[in-house]
Amino acid sequence: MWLKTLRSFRKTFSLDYRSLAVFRIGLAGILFIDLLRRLGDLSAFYTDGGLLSRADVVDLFFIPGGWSLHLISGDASIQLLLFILQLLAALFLLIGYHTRWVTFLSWALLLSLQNRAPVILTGGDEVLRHLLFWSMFLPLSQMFSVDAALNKNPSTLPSSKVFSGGTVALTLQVICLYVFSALLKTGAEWHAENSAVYYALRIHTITTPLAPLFMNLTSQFPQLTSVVYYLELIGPLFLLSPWKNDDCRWGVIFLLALLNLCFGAAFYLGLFPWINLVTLLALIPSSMWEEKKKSLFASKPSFSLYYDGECRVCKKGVYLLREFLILPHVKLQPAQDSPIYNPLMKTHHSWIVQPAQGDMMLKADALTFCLQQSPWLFFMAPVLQWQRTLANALYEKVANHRPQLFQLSQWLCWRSISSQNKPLLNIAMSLIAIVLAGYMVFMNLLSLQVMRGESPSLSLPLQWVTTAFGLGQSWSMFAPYPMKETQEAGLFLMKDGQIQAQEALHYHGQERWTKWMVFITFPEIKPGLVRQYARYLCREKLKEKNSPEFNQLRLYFLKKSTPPPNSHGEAFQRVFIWEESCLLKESQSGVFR
Amino acid sequence: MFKFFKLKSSWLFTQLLILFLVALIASQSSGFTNNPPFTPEAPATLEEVLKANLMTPLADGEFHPKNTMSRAELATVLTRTFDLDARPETNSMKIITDVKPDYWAYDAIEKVVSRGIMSGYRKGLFYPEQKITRAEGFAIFAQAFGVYSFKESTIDDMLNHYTDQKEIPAWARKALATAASEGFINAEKNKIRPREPMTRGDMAYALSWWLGRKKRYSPSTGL
Repeated sequence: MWLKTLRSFRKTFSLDYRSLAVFRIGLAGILFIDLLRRLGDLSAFYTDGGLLSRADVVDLFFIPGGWSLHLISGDASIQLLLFILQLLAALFLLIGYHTRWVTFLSWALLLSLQNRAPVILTGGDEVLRHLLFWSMFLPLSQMFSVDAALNKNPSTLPSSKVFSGGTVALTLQVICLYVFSALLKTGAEWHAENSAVYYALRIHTITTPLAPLFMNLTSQFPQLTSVVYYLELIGPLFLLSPWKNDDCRWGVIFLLALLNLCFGAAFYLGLFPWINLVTLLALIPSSMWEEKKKSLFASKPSFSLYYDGECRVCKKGVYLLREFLILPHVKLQPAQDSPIYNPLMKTHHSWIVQPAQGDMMLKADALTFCLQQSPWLFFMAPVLQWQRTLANALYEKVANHRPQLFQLSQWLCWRSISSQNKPLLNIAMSLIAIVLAGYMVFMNLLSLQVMRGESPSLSLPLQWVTTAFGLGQSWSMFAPYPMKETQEAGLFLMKDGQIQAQEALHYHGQERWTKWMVFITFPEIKPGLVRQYARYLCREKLKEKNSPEFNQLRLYFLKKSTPPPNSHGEAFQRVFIWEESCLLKESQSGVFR
Repeated sequence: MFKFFKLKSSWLFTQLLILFLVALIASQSSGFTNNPPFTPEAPATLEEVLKANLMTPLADGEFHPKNTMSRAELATVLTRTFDLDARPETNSMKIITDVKPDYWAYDAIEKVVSRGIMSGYRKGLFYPEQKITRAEGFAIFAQAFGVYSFKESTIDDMLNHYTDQKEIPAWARKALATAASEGFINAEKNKIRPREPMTRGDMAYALSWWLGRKKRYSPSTGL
């Protein structure tokens, strides 16, 4: 009985290596995009000359255990270097090179970056950070990676699935994300009134141009509200179903993907919905991969690829090619082992592809053939065929520079990634992951208490650990109910008390600026930020060539209250919150209005 | 100040830069030069060919490299060079009517015909004394060696290197590509001269390359 339960538990929390590999690729892609998007606001959010000086960050946001490597300098160039380092780590994660280490580096740098500007953190940032954290406990590089291609001991894995503390933690994280997000939605708008979808779609600051399409479904809003709520609350629990687990997983993946696509279509939530979609990739059942394998490779001809076994860079190259073109049925052989292909290879300075039936191919033709057989890069083959002469010329260029390429590729080392021969380490990592997963559930339970208005206190060591490792989580999007009041900012440029120009401050589609404006519109939360923002605007406006002459800046907000469903008319209210003298020295502060 | 990604212009710039680099690399590459697209390794010497008894001097003790070769001579060279006994028989010598058992090259012709390396003409005629062209000679030599199943485009690539490649008969292209690939063809000034008669010197050249290859790689390839 116990054994059966244990087996069922193991099956439920097992994840496929291939699913984990595509999850890794998706995660790295998201990280890459996230960093590129942040780069645009580098000086605004990550330098002392921007909105958040290091002193402000430490004064306003730091709690015990908080740390950030990005606080070592307020200079843009240093920040840029850190960004480049992080982009490199993301690139290595993408190709799966020294995967565990670069996952750790990516997570540490992301946490550091997030701590540098905590005020602009979004839900997506939190999910990304947690996913990277759990990724450190997962075998993400067993497939489609440089690590797998250059594995010194490519022992066949005993199963296509892995069960570990890491897989348990990741599965629980997905469940917690949705279930606690639902549990935090305690407002009547999600229950008695069923108007949450209506209110969410009226938050103009975050809705996309597609949102009005959803507004056409007004009569279905109550049902949609219930569907969203119960889908979040109950849907993910089916991942734990001991019966027909694969079918249940597919159902959950489909419904949650649909939910996130709708989120992405209707709201500017940054990368939040896309990160959630990437997370679902890790849950893809093995049966899908097995079916794909059958349908993709059954009809493909088997072939041998002969390479120069005395050329180390060539060997690495063909192993990488087989891995990344996904050609598991290719037989890689050193040409030196064959009395036929060895002379041919030397005569033509080329690798040789010999299908089981058909003509042999050399140089770019061989690469074109490999691409044709690839289940995902096949579309490149016609391009190469079209530019065959150029491709052959490039091939020869590469072939003639093998010593230089060898030098360049020395960092790509053959090494063993098999963790099967380190059982103690595996058990230790699993146990740590299980304990941390338990703590993650505890943190989510704690967020329920906070939502109820209680203020639970953690002991100092726990608080320190939570902050230092970024373990805190609270999935409070649209909770306890969606905002019913939107605030759009604007400013007056004034000279000697006379209005020279008026300007609305639009940050539509820029979720970090939207988040920033939430703090600005409620200056009582962090009063220092309003002053910084006003000064920042002064500097930016003074730089603009077509700005009218001004020496004063006045910030205001237009508050729009969303009327209840079936009511008409929005209530507007303009509120002046700050006035800044743009010619004053830093020490002379502006005033609240 | 740090608006690094003005996407449209930087994207266009990157594309142009890549295009420029590709063109630069390609223009410097040997693909656009007159260098041969392949480089066979060094051959053996004529002395070694004679020592291996693949060819022998004529009755006067001289080699006479300018003398043309007959089909019977070619058959003899092929039987001396390749281990044809190990290959399966596909034809019967009975189909040949103009080569009698007492003919000096009967055994050699029997071997090459029965192994399908050479064939007779219509009405069972072999014409043993008929002179062969270079295209025939090298193609048959390649046939005995083993013709590589190169892709058509690869064959074109290899033969395009020769300025008179249009003169090569269609039936011989694949075999000549193999012969060229192995260095069997003495193509001075990048000319194969497929219609010219094959000389003993031409054959000795092919044999020297074959011998060089055999010495370098496994002698028991069975090719």
